[in-house]
Amino acid sequence: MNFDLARIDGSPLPADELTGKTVLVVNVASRCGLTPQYEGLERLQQRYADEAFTVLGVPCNQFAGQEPGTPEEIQQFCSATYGTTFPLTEKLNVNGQHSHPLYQWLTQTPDADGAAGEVEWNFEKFLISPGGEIVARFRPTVAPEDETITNAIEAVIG
Amino acid sequence: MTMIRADQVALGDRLRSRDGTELTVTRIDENFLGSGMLAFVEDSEAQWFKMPAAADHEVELLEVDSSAD
Repeated sequence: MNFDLARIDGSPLPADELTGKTVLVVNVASRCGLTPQYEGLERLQQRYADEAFTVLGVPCNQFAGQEPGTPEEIQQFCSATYGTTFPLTEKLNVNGQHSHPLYQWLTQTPDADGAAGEVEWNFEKFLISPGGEIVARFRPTVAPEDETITNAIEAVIG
Repeated sequence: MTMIRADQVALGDRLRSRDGTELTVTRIDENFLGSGMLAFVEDSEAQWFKMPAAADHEVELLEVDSSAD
């Protein structure tokens, strides 16, 4: 994963902080019916903390404007409401002509039904191996701790 | 304010989302997240934006696509 990314506070997120790790990339939003998935995402972060694993949250406001806040508001919401410890990027476009290169790459990967293309909604998940390959794609309604996700993570981390 | 049933929205119509974002509908998806809802999408040079709505609910219509006449 060698993309130009910034943390939610605007500071650079160096590629070498993610290289060699198993990464679950998730586009997040603070005002979505799926927002409580933050709880499961944080539990994954804690459960696999010793396995070179991290969740990477990507705030996005393209879905019904459900992530309208400033970087400070988003960060405060996540940490205060859900106690999240995993990194967040700056707000990105995940779909469309101005989508971030990270998502231009991710969305080429099909889901379990063989469908690639656009991110469907908030909290879509992509699992990336330490070698930088996209291992699996999970649609928004698949809960973070669903066994299809935990099995996939455990298969990657060995 | 003009309201219209979601299942009466046509391509080219301009809507306002509940968050205030305006979008010109370039695509209408059915069965959003398996819920049976519709999803209105603007996929253009200006923006990519998705707004779901139940088919029998009303949405705010700003402008009808006159080219459809």
